[in-house]
Parts: sequence; structure tokens; C-alpha cells
Amino acid sequence: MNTLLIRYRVLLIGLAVLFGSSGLRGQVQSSDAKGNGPVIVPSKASGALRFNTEDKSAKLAFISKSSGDTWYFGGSGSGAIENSWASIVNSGQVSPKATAELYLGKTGVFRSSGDPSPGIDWIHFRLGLVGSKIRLVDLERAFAEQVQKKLFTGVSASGSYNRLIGGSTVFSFGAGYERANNVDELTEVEVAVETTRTDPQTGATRKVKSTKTAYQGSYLESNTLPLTLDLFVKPSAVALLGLNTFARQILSDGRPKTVIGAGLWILKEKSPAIALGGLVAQLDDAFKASSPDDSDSAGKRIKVSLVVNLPLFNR
Amino acid sequence: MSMHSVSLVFEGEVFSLYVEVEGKEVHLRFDGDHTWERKLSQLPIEGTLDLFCIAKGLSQTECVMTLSVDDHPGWTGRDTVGASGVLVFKTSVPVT
Repeated sequence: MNTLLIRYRVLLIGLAVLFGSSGLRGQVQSSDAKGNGPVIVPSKASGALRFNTEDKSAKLAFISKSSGDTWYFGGSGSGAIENSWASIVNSGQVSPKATAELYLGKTGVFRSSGDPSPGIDWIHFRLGLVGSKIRLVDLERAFAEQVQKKLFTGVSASGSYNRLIGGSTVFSFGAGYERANNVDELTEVEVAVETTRTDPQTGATRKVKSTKTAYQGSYLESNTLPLTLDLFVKPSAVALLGLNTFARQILSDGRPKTVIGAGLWILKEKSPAIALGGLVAQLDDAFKASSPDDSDSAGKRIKVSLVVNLPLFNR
Repeated sequence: MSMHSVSLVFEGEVFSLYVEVEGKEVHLRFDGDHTWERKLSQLPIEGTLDLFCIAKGLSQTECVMTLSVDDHPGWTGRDTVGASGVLVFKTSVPVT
């Protein structure tokens, strides 16, 4: 399955172009630096390109939903590039990642859509499959085994409760399971191999250099149990700005890691549920569960991302 | 009492929508973008057509509700969600 997802990553992005004539419009909600956030509008059919320092992806989604307190279902597929912009520019290579998701939800759990009192809530369940391919480098190994390709597949499932409070606040909390790897914690490096040939007659040498993007460090896969908490606020005094704060508690092999952060978002005029882009800052492993001996300073664990969400299609 | 076709179109980036026609809930289909639509055929109407709609979303969300009877424009309501996050459309449209 992971091979199919990776092989057809180009098709997923290609579908986004083909669907241009259908008039679908993109929308992306506020989120953390990795693009995970509350389902503000109970999902939409959409096509969108997302660019920030943490994530480069194209996503296509569909939904089936009716008005009233009804169930809805949908799905999405996305292709992403895991390695940094610098390595893409330098080596022209990408570490691909493909994701497919199905979701199911229902509006009007404790507050009905037909109730004229303020507020509406909904529950959202998600089942996902992710596949990615990276290169790992370990210079301690024999030369022929120093660079190895690694295919990763992971299943994830989650559920969340979401609520609109008044006309300005969206609250969400959720829990789930995710098979994950620690690529984010590895060091991205460029592996260069030089091959030299010498002309036996003239003594001239010719060098051929190839460069590949790889990751260095102790690669691990683990079962994680993420807990999420998101709060989005649209101040009434400021029409086009929204603020979200979030916390992620990720239990991994008994070690809890906490991510906390906040984002400032530019909202679309007359449609504030659509975030056009924003600035997100987060502190990974806030309580230093990975490095309790204080070897890792907070400065290294702070991530600041500028997010630009580009709808692929416009009506 | 005569039979008529009624078309309902709601546009707006809202989180939830509830619609009643002649006192009965009607489910509008979401197009996956920002439009909810439904066409009712052979709806019995006597005198006036009553429409009631509740939309909930973020404040300053612009919404438009359009009602057509027998493919003729009947009524259009345009409003913005207020600070409470609730927007109500309510109208009675005469039908001949």
C-alpha cells in the first residue's frame, strides 16, 4: 500500500490540476506548524497548496454533507515533500510523503443546528494512512551500507470534539493513535560521493560527484498516542485576523512530549472561516522529555513558520 | 392548494445550517465549497410559502439565502453573522 501511495503521489497532485474545471475551491484552517489543527468547518471538498518552512504539500479532499444535525463523510489525499527548501535547491531531490484519509463526523451533538441559541458542535473521526521514503546515512557502517533507503508506512486514527462558542471562538480537543517516525528529530545532510578515474596514459583525473539528501541520526518508529487541544479566536474588533493556540501531548513508548504554540492568521474578508495564511510559532518537547539532562536548549526546539495557503481552484 | 417546485440556495462559509419550509425541516445538500442547495418538486402551497433558516458561524460571515418558486425568483435575503454567531432568515413569500 505504501508503494502505491508513493508511486501515485504524482497522480494525486495531477488530479488537483484535472479537477480545476469542476470549480472546487481551496480552504485551509488554522493549524500548528505541521498543518494539524481543529476542523473549523466540518471539512470541505477542496484543493489547496500549502507552503511553510515545515510543510510543502498539495491536498485534495471531498465531502458529502447535508444541512441539519446530520452525519457527513469525506476523504482526502495529499502529496508532500519532507526535506527542506535548501536541500531541494541544492540537490534537486525530494523525500516524498503521501497521505490518504477518510473521515466521518456529525454536527449537532449537544447543541443542535436548529436551536436558535448560539453555538454548534460536532464530532469528527479520522482514519489515515501515510507512506514516505527517506535515505538514512550511517558513516559507522561498511561503505556499501552507509546510505540506505527507508520506506515508512503508518496508520493513524483519531477522534475530536469541536465547538463554536458564540461567533468568535472555536474549541477542539481530541485523541488518537498514530504510527510515527522521528524524521523531524534527525539531522538533514547532503551525502556526496565522488568517483575519480585516472587516465593511465596521461595521468589526468576526472571526478564525478553525485549528491543525495539523507538523514543522519538514530531512526526510530514508534506507536504514539497524541492528545490535542486547540483554541481559535477571532477578535470582533479586528475583522481579518484570527489567533489560535494549541497544545499537543504525544505519548510515545511511555515518554510524553508536549508541543505548545500559537499562530496569527489572516482571514478572508466576509468568510473568516478561511485562513489565507499566517505565522505560527511552537515549542517542541516543551518539558524536554527527550533531553532531560538539559543538553538541548529551548532555542533549538522553537519553530517559527510562515504559512501560505493557496487554493488550487477558484470559481 | 396548488403544487409548486421550490429551489433553495444558501451561500456562506458557515459551520451549520438548518432550514424549514412550511414548518418542516428540509435538508440542503452541501456542494463541498460554500453552497447548500435543494430543489423540492410538487410542494403543496396555499397562499404563502414560509421559510425559516438558522445559520451558525464566525461573526462577519456574509450569507445569502435565495428562494425560487417554479423557477421564478421569489426572495433573496443577504445578511452577516453577528457577534452571537447566529444568523436567522425568516420570510413568507406570496405564491400564486
